[in-house]
Amino acid sequence: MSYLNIVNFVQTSPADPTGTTSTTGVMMGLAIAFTPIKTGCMYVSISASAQNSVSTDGASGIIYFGTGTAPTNGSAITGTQLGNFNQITRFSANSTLIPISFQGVVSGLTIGTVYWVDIAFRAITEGTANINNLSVSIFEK
Amino acid sequence: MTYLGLPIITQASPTNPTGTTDGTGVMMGINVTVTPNVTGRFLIIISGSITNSTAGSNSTAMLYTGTGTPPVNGAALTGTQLASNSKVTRFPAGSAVLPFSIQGFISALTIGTTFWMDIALKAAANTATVSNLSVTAMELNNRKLPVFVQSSPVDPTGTTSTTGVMMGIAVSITPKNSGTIMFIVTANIKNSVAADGFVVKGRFGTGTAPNNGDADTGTLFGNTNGSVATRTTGAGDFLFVKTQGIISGLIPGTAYWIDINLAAITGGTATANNINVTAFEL
Repeated sequence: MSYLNIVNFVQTSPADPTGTTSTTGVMMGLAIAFTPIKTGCMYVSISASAQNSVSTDGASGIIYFGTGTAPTNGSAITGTQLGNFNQITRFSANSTLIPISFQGVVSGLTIGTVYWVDIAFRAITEGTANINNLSVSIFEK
Repeated sequence: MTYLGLPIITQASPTNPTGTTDGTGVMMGINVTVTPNVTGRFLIIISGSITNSTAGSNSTAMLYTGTGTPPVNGAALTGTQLASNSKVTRFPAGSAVLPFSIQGFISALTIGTTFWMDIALKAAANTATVSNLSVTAMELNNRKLPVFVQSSPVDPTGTTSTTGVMMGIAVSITPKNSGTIMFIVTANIKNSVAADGFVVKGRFGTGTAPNNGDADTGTLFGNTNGSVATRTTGAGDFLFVKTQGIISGLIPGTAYWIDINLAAITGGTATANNINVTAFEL
């Protein structure tokens, strides 16, 4: 069977994950599954809003992906980093939501293997950092 | 038409470049290059953090591409600007970083000719800096000729609506092959009252495109809650916003309009500037 003409994609808006007080970063547990079927080249784009309960404490995140059991919310960072981190070092008020986005592309994934995609997120200095209103777009190029 | 070569992808996180005090803009010299191999059609997305050494000053990032020797950090503007500016007009504190993202779709590149992509940066005053850059470039390898649109519409009139109205940007795309489209819209959005914030949601539909100020219409792409800023740094200060989504099942040969729905959250006037629409058929 030829998959060349199949458009392989995932579009999802996962529920807002529980925030974190970690300043080293934890997984958000989005557990978005994607299986390459033709080229093994995966593009990921995520838009969202971020906040911290304390305006001066900031928030930072980055995309991770991997195989096997997807990490749950609050678990230690695992998987492979995709793209660079993005951050807000200070908000104009406590718990203010500010838009944030991440993206990356990776090749060489194994055809037929299920990959999970997640965000690792942290508070920069303290407070509780949250990422909300996620829109996750993934496609195989 | 069939393309048999291997399409190119690049994913880079360049070293944080030196900032600038220049008011017209200089190149950051991130030195990311790609060489088209199949179609000469590339989606380029650069996201990162932007700041200014002084809270009340503007910082504006622009996406440039060109061929030949890549510009170095601090060089004069060169190449071709791709997509609208992305700017933040006030920061919560001096050197506090906020996110930004710029994307564009570029076509008709010459196969085998290397091109560079770079961020140009300008400061209204003081020192503007970008950091944590993530550069993604993908050559789209549709086996059939792909459909895409890259548009920077005129800044629409803002709104005082707290339920949301259409901005009337009326960008159009007509799928031809798969009927699966990826929509990406970025913009700078402000509210005349800092504490009143804004919500922006992606919309598409068929038929006559809505006008500025029309009631909400069309179908959502992206998160149902939209992209939200509950507070801007100061009254009338711009923040960056991105909303994106993939929609399948669209009818080949049917024209679809693309728009955004904008709302002020509690009051004030919400306004979108520097809207940049990238849409392409997967």
